[in-house]
Amino acid sequence: MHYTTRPMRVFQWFNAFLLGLLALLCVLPIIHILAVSFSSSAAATAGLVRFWPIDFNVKSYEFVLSSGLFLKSLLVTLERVGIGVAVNMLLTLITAYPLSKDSERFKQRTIYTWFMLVTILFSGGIVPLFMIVRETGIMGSIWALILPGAVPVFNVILLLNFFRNLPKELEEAAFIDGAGHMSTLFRIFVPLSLPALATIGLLTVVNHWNAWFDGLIFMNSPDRYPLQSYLQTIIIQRDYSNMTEQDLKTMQLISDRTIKSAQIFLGALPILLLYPFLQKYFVTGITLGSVKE
Amino acid sequence: MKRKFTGILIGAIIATLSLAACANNSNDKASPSPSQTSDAPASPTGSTGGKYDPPITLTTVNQSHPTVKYADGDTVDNNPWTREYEDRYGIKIKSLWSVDATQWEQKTNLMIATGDIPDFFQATPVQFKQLAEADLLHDLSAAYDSAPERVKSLLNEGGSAALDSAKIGGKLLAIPFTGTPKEGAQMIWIRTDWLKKVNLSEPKTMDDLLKISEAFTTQDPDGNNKNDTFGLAVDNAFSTLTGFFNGFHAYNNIWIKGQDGKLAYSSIQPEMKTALGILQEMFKNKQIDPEFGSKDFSKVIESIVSGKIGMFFNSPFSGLYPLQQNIDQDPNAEWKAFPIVSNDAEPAKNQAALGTIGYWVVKKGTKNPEALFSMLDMWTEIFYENKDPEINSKFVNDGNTEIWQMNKIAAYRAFKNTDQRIKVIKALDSGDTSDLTGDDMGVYDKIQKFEAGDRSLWGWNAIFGKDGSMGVTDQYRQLNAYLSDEFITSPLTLMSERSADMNKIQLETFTKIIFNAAPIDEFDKFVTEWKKRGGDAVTEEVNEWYANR
Repeated sequence: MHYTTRPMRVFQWFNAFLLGLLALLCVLPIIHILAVSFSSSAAATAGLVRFWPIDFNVKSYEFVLSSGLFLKSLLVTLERVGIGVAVNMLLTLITAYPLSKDSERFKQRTIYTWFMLVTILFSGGIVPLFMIVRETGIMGSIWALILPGAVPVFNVILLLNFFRNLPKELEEAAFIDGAGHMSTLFRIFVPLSLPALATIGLLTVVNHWNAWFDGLIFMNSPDRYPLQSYLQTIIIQRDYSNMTEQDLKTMQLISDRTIKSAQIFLGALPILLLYPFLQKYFVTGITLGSVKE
Repeated sequence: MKRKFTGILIGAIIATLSLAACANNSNDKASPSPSQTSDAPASPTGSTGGKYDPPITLTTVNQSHPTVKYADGDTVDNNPWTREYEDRYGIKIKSLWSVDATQWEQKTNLMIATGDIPDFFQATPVQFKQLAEADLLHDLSAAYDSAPERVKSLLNEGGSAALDSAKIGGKLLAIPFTGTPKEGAQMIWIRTDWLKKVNLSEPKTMDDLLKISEAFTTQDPDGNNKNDTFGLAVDNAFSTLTGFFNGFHAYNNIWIKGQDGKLAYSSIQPEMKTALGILQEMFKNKQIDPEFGSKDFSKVIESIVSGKIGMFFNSPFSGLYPLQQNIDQDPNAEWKAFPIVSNDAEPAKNQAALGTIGYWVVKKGTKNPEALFSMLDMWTEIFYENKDPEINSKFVNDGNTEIWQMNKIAAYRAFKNTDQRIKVIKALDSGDTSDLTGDDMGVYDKIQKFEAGDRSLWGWNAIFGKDGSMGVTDQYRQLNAYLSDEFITSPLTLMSERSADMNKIQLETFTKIIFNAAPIDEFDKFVTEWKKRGGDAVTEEVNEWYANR
């Protein structure tokens, strides 16, 4: 085979080396955070920790897991991911299904598609969004984090294209056997598009897990922050030039880098664990809709 | 296809516009309604001693602090402070929301943009000006006149500038949240264990200081036989150089009064050139970290904590952070604060900004603006004057949490810590603690514990002890060694437009000069460039404000 020719072998080695280097670049920050979280506080503040813990201890993890705010915000995030992903997936499915039909069968299809596409290109901006959330009275509740993004248009388009590639005959056969649109969707389309659904599911989970900005502006109390909003408040750079005595006392209490690192790592852990299991669908799912026969 | 698309686009635009119009309408309708202003018109009791009956409710928005933990069942609106407001004055507090202090500005901006402001809240200087221009603020002049004396003296302790800055067109439109700019003036923190090792005495002049910097660089003060220490800490925004500049009678980023009585920008004065020249020399001699250009203050802290730097200019509170971390890390480390030194016979003066943390503004039409002064009076009494340990543990600090941060309105005394050190030292000498407030007692106990050998409380002694940094502050105060920023209002129009660009060339030029990437004469080019890029116009604008103040 051509793998055995020498230039090809050299290329393979070189390729592996380069990609390995890239992968290492991605992993190193995580290892650093992990090392800091297991180090003593003094060593961490002095910036001595690189990729191996100094004075190994698990105190920061004990602290984080026993203090209230981290766990509270984790619960809010779990709630958000649970409800949010369910709502997103349902709406994506029932929006993509009709839009995947031909213009002949569903005349306004193009109008609807463009109407949704516009939201990808333009947005009203943050103040109108804030006003809508306030006027609808969901400010401060978990729905403020879910409803504004309830229909993820990008996912709808992904799924729509996937649906269009399923053999039309299957659908026709289902109709002849007396199935309505609902049962066709849930008994034919959904089982057939599991890879696409897994991809979209993963995207949705990650989006909800990582979102922090909406939590900061829509929640009325830090008690109800989702995890990432809470993490953002602890790692943000403070302005050192204009600190009062009170600020410094606070700094002294919360400047502990080991605790920050522990929280960052714990915050990323669930997603890190989820990824390997869903990733095999990811590649197939995202490319499946791309080629038409 | 193309035509179809155009049609759809137009349709979409029309739909969006009509939606926007609807939103506007509903907003217009909503704003004049007295949505959440004070309840029933309470009997107009005076702000002193009176109690509202029936109780009034004031709405506000809340900053939350990571160090505050509410007791079981307590909330933002139901805690020791709010209960006391209600018991004493009949004032109930309703918080519309709370947000972490770091997100305060963003969230209040959104709130202001949507036009739904509470009865009172803490605004930033820029927001204060915007709200005043939009005529949304209540005139507090009358309420201030009848305010308790205690509150007046608190607000004036650091000079009248704070209150003046809250006046627009002769009306007092806010209560300034006074900070401690003078008390926070920089001093020189030096590692005294290194000073002993290199056999030098305390700095009295700039020459002494430069010698110390040289010795800390070349004489291996940390004794590891490596040439890896630096003389002076420098961060990429020069926030650790303010005291250094002041030693050359140069001032950074403030407006000073020139000989002709007009205001001039301090960073373009010839004194600054001298100071930068010296810094360039220090850089050439490896006394400054060659990577300073990419190190912000938190990175500089790393170098200090890991024992690479033995001298830095910073606030007197540095004893608690970051120096305490260095003490924890290195059992031999010892730091002390010294007054800034001058390069000639004329004593150095510390530049002092206005230092207002924010402005407590009251929404126009709020029925009882004087209630804020009552609450502020209670704050002053409990936080600054109370001597009863029971009240202290109920309202200030119970040993677990900083309860005082549950207050709904505060202002800081300009020299509280300086006075506190004097009282604490007196008590340490005499053993008589009867004159101490609860907060003083906390400091007193910590210093005693430190003297008994607890080095984790070193920082408290470094600030409040006999040789503490607050002693240096006290010297500054007695000599009035301050030069105040004369520009005490929120940024003017042209200034906010141009300042980003102007600050950028300033930072770049200063960095280049210190970095020895440009000759010192580059400074003159910078001054011309600064003036050309809007500096002259801004100076004019500032002087116009100054004349019409």
